[in-house]
Amino acid sequence: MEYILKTEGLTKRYGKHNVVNQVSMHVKKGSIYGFIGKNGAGKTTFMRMVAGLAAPFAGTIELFGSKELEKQRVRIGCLIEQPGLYGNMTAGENLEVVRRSLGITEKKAVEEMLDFVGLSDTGKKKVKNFSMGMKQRMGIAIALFRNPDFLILDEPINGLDPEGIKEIRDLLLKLNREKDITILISSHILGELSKVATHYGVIREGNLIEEFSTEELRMRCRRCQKLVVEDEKFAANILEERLHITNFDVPEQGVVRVFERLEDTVKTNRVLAEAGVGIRESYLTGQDLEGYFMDLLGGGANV
Amino acid sequence: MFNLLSAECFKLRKSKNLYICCSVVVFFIIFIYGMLLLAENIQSGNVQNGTGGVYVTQEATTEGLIMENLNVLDFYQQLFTGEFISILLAIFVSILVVEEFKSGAIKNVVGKGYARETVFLAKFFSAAIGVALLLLVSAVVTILAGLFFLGEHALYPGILADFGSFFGLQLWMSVALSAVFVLISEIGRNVAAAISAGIGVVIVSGMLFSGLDMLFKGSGFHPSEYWLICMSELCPAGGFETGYVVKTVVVSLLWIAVALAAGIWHFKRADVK
Repeated sequence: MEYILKTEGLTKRYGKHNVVNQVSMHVKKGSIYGFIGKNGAGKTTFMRMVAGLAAPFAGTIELFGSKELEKQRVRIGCLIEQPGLYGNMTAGENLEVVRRSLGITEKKAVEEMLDFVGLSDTGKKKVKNFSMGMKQRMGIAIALFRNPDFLILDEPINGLDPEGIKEIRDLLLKLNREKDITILISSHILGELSKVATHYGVIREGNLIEEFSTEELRMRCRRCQKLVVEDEKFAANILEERLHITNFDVPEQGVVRVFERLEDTVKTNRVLAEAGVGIRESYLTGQDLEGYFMDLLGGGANV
Repeated sequence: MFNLLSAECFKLRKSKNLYICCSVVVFFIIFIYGMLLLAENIQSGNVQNGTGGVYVTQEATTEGLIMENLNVLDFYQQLFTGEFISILLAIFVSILVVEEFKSGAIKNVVGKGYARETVFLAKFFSAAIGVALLLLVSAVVTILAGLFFLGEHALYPGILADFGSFFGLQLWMSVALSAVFVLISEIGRNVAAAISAGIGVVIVSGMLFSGLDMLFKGSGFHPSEYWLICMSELCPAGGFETGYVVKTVVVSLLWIAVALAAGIWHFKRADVK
């Protein structure tokens, strides 16, 4: 498995408090990794450590399979918190500073990048007069300079209007599909994140509590009949032999999830009971993505 | 480093900070010349004493007219005996450095394959270039305005050589002082705090070193001879001895080394927001 980013036990401590605690994250090549957590959960701090803006207290970071981070970070583009822009310069002048800093010799790279992010017609307008969406696009333009292989975007759609959000979403999908850029993106807007992410990581109070793919997430959120039984093996046998149900799983001891015949759960319950399966609970369940994440994150309004 | 310097020069070119500070220097020099002209007119009886709040006690008949006794080098030396230039440098460097942190633009270079020390040094060189431009403007305006206000006697034969030497020493000390201000700004990372601390250093250090001189009185050791602001104020306008020049260069170099080492040490450990 080729990982673009792999961290092991990454920890950041301020005073006696670990704001990022033992985080082991795995971002696969070509994926769009949605990083989810409440405000203050440690997302930005984690991203800043990966980007080299903050030093870890403990743990290791591997980028592109290497621990020579200074060398590998050249291949990363970042937009962390607010984009770093000079308010008294135009969009072109801001990108000219970045072009020179990064040693890009082609002067037309500035024009091309402005064109790419849709800011080529801003002319002599100073960046301080830009809208939030335009500034975010400038931030993405800076992150995309030097054609990175890995993009780190912290809340890139914050403060954008629906049209701006769609533009950024389309841009990310284009970069991922056409340029094969791996993306680590954090956002509070779970609905939007679920439209682009292929993998997820959930952070709570500095701890990465789970990592999973979109497929796994769909499976977890799938509608099913959940049975809490005395003997899950016996129940599974009855489901297969008498009801000919094959689409079920046993996620944990004493629990069986049935994904078919959901329209006739009465029959399923009756057959199992007649066969002598001890049923403690039986109910239909299934969540939307937001509900699932809320459960993982322990609820709260600011997710 | 070359890439970073190229970007820094571009930023300097676009920097309002530099143009405003240069304008302030130009205005200040012309203002002082203007004040001297007014004083001379009072002295010669053309204008009533006290006009514009200017009072002249020096008799024209015994000591000559004020501007007759003045040349551009004297005038330029006077610029450095006050704290005006040092305070202006503190303001210029503070804004130049803190702007990077305030705008977040420092994130565009940190973690982009450059070592932190390279980023810090590039900022110092940028400040040094800006300081050099400021001093160059002050020198050119002093000479040109001097010719206008003082007339031909503003330039005596050989004055340009002395002026060049004085300018070179002041430039070298100012660059060293800018390293100290870069250090203060990097640690402060707030424009108001950095400017306040910088001006505080300029104003308080003179008194502090005078006190230290008194403390070491009799030992032959004068701490103020090793502090940049005192050195700048006491720098002679001519008759430069090799020993003095070497001492000035070496002490300034030491201050640059100490300030940069401390700044790099801090910048390497500090998080960038």
